[in-house]
Amino acid sequence: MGHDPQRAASAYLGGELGRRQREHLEAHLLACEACWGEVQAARQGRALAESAREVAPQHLRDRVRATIDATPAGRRRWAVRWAPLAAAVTLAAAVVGGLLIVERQPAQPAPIAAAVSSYRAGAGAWSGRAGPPRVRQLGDLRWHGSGRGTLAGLPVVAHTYQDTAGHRILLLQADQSFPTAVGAHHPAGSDTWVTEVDGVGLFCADRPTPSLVVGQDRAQVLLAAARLGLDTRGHVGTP
Amino acid sequence: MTAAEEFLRATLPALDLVHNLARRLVPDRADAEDLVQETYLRAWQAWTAGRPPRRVEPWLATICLNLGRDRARRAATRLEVTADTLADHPDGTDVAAEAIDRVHLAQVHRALWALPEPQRLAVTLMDLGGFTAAEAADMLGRPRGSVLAWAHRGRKRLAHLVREQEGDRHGS
Repeated sequence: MGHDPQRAASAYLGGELGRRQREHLEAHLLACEACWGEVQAARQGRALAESAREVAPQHLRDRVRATIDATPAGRRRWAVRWAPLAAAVTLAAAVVGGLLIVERQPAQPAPIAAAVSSYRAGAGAWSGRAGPPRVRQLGDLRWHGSGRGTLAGLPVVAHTYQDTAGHRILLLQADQSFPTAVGAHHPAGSDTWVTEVDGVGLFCADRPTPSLVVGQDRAQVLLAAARLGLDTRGHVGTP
Repeated sequence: MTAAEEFLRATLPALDLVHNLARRLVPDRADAEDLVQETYLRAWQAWTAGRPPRRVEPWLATICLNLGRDRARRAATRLEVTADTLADHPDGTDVAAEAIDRVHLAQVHRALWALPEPQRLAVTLMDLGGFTAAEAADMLGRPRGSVLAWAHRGRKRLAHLVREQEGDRHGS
């Protein structure tokens, strides 16, 4: 092999050399400025990279645990895909309630069940920052805060609204459609639906942005949806 | 012990490794945490399907690597890593040493993200993950010589970039 400082240094620092080759190179380094420079520069870089090692935060550890706990062995693929949100919401509920309760609603798609749980918990697992919503006032309900949630890789923005009496609306927006809730009223030719799940109202529209409005009942979410400019035609008067 | 407990006992010790790898696969901290979660889910699926690994660390790292690269391809964006995304301790309890550490960490993180992807991954797997060149080559599906060369160039470039940032901070 000819004189190749880069190759020699990378093999040396990569632990690729046998004892004899290593000793030979170490002797060579004392005399060769080029090889010495290569080794020194790479050593500095390696030390810098090593210094950037981070410890995973505790909340991530908790989140992973909750995700696995919420995903029984042998669960179907779609359910596994949405399990992170269910886990995140379970975790949020646990933090709020001080008790870890794994809540499962098998009758509903996992994101829907998770949205309901999150609304009930009163505090979403919204960690990232997000800009304010286009509409900041829904009647008496004022925009309260926004954040980003975790939907198994799908970025979701959450906006919360509330009034002084404690009424709340949660507006969830995603880059792709939310699954339809089981039992939802879905007018023909419309890409919107409304329903109630365990006493929580849900309205969903695909346009202009896939949005899920969560509130205390069907009437409240329909009113909020209308004020948000979402298409509620076909739902007025829905029993 | 349930299957989930057994899985977590085997895999959670590698969480730091997966987290560090995820932080170098996607620039945003929240996205990196999503990636870690997805990695564990996929691993759990494989585990319950009767495919437990011989060695947990390379197995998890490979899953994370594949998922992270898929994401990067989908996003097809190279986000600027700002000091804001590196803010680790929002509670404002900084002491001087911690502040210096954070500045240092931010510099190195930025520099790592300025490396071409093969170099960043080689450096991450070998220097942050502690994998050998052969293991990293296996994960990346590339010859060991290439991985060694990437790691070497990446380390040199990293040192150079951090020196440059230091110069900018102190010189001007």
